[in-house]
Amino acid sequence: MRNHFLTPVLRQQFTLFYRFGYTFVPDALLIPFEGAIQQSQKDELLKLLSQITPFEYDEEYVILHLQQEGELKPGNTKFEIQQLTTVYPLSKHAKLSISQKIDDRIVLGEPLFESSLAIAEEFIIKQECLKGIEALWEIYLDEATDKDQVLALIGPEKIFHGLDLRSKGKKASELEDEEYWAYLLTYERYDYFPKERIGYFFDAGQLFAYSKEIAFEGSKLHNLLTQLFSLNQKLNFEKIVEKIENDPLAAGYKSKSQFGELKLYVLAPLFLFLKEEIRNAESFTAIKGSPAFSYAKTTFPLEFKAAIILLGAFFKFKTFYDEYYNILNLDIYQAQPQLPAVKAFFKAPEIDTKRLNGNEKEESLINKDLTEGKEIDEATPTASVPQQMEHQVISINTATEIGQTTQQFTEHTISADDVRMQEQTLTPELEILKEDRTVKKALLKERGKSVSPKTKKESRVGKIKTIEQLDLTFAGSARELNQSDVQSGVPIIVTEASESIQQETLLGKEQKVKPASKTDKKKSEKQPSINSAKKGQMSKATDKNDSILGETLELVTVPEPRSNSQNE
Amino acid sequence: MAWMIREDQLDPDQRDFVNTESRKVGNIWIKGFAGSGKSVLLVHSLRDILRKEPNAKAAIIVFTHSLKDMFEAGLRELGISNKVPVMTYYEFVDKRHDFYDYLFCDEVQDLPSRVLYAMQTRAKKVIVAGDSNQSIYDQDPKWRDATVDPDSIGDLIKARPFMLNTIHRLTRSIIVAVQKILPSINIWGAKRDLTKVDVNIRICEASSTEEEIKYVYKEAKNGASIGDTCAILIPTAKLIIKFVNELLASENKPVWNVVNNYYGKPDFGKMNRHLKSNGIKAQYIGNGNGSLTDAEVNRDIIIMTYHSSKGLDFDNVFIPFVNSSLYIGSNKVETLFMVAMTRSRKNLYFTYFGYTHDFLDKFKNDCTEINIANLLKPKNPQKTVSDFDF
Repeated sequence: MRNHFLTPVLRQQFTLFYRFGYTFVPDALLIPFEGAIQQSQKDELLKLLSQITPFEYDEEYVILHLQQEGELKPGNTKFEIQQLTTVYPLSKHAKLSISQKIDDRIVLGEPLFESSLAIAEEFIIKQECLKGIEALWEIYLDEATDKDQVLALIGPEKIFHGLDLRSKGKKASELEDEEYWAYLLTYERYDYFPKERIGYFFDAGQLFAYSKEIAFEGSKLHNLLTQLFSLNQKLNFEKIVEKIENDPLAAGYKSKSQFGELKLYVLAPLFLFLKEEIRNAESFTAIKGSPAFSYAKTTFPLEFKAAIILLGAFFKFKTFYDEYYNILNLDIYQAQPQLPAVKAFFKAPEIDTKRLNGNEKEESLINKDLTEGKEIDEATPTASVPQQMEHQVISINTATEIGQTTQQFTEHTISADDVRMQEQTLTPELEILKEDRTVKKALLKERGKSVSPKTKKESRVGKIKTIEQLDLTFAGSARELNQSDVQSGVPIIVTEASESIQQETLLGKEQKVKPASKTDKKKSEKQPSINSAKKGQMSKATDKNDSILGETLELVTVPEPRSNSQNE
Repeated sequence: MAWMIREDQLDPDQRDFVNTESRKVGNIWIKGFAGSGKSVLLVHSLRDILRKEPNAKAAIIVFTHSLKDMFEAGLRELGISNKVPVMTYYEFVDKRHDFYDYLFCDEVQDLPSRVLYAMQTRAKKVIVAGDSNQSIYDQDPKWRDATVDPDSIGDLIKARPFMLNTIHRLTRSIIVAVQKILPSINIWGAKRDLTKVDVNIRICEASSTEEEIKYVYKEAKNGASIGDTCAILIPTAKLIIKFVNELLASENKPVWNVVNNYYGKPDFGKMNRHLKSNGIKAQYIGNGNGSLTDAEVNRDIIIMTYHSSKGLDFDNVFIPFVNSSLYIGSNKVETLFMVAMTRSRKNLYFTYFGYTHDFLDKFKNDCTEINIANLLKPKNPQKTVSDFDF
């Protein structure tokens, strides 16, 4: 029976698929359908687009229509290029752009969605805004609880709405019956107001007038600001605010420019001023340390916090990630030690020359131990694995966010049978990870050193859980792996809060651990250690806020290298 | 311009070029609208090549001295300025006869065919950048050769085209207007970048030419007075003289009686002196007259032709006389008009008296329409409607 599937892939993956003639797709990314694409499949695709690595431009992903005879086997499915029926771009302009760059014999399909693509994009944009806020807050401020309070005070939805209007090309002067935040976020100066600080107070007056649908020029506030400017062009923010707070000409404006505790007559010019500072700089790094920010922070603390929220959302994560990552001091920024050559443990399957030579006899693929020159028959994996060998499982957060540090990892002891099952279902990607861990283990062993103090503190010990009790989700081979564990019903030791994991942790031996202090934890969150990266584990979110999807992937560490005798 | 680029900062087209296209064998023509990052990609490819082949002999060929300065600055920033000469195409053809491993060339659409032929025969690999939509010159100023037919560039240097479609410099409203004037070109903005000031396009109707010029001067003077750069763009020298004299008349100043220079052309230097002596805060810039720096320092309004404005941008741009009888040129009129209307960073004013020009009709529904007569009326503050004391 012929089955049809839709799957979103990065365009680069499609290019490689075309170049090599085959690709692998995890089953979680395959949407089955009857051959004619219905709205339900489009909806599923849109949902999937919100659950994979985000994209900035429509042409970064394409949707493939693949066909296969028979049922899918669990895990990664290999597709040959002949099984690819159609390539669908995400939008019309993606189609145009892609068609200019690919083999002109390829006839692209009509985009599956045009306007509804905005749903997936909206999700990505919101994440960009929220992460922009998080990053900018982290750069200038500390108290995370304050951030949530200030964000809640303004209301994230109001911010998203204002930015959405902006994305549709709306200008503040064209809005009607919108909330103040929409005017503030869509406002740009098209009038010839002074370039000095007071100009931003003219801006605030203008956008206030737009929000009330009244004229600004000729108003008392306009007159006051004009007078002030004619008397002193160099008035600083504090002086102008003082005038607005005390001059009768601004009394009406002031009384209508409060939002809870927030003084909008301070926030608006402050936001617009800092916005210009960031916009006009060659990069955010160039103005990050500008005195304007420290002045605003100390002079108008609450309004500064609100401005940070608005600026973070306005410029988004794209503007700030560079500096933010510096603060996080990402593991990947650390120089990695040069790794010594180690025995290759995992081997590429050798070509079955007998089959190529026309030998009809079915034989299993033969793996050759490249190091020792021994042959391992994959059809009989039991022969290659010691029966009582311990293996470790490290938890990985699959909705991985850069900057999440390793707060804990869980270790599971599983039986040799499980390992054999896992090895049969491991995907190439996981094999690479396995291989990587083997190399790192060998390095640690060679050095004879224990893992870093930070890792010691962050690790947790020792409850026993079955795999069903773990946070299992997400796609692809890893899920298959876990499902096989579940099926096997193997008890798994989950280690938590370990006190002092020795180097042997990675080698499958026992460990002792001590709970981490709060301070240590916070410090370690900000400065992830190189060792956590070396160990190959990734972070596991401790609460919902730590991850987008809150999903966890289980990664199996490698078993001890097999001995020659066992192989034989 | 930021010359150092990282992969995470590139758009997909640029990433394709850097990672794949530039590494393939054969000559390449990078096609892209202004602001699509062509020049940066040229330099990036050059740096990439020099990393792999430090002894490769390479050069950059450009059209103008300002482009030469720009590339030299970029190469300095990347620390490779001593390895790669930057030259105008006259220098390349007339003064140097070396053979190169790699030749890079920007604004290829403005070159005569003989330069392309020379590049093809004197280099192992040629990478050029340009945009046929921006070709506004019919011939080169020195040899008087016809500029290359954009359709034949690929054949002349045996180059495969590579398209850059995302425009990072222009904002939404301008891209929409350009697409309506030149529907055949495929350009779009970086749609997620909403942080730029979207240019405010105003279409302003006057009840007379005098009123139109009065309004343009008043608004431009307002902008210049606060330190904005303001340019009034006019398609021909003849129309510039008309504008200046109407302006002088509206300000009750003596008109300028055209005086020709040694070449029999209007002496715009003398016109500038006339404007200055009559207190008009404007100067003509072009053909060696006037100065951008001087205009900026003195907060003067800049008057120039559409042609001269290519490659420049200003805070506020005024395009007057855009009525049905406007004469823009004999050919490439859409391109010339597009060049003029893409010069603004903040405000773009089209003004007219009578019926709007066909080009304006194509996008005027997307713009703010203004009646100049209403704006020039004195304002009555008492009419401010407010339910509170504002």
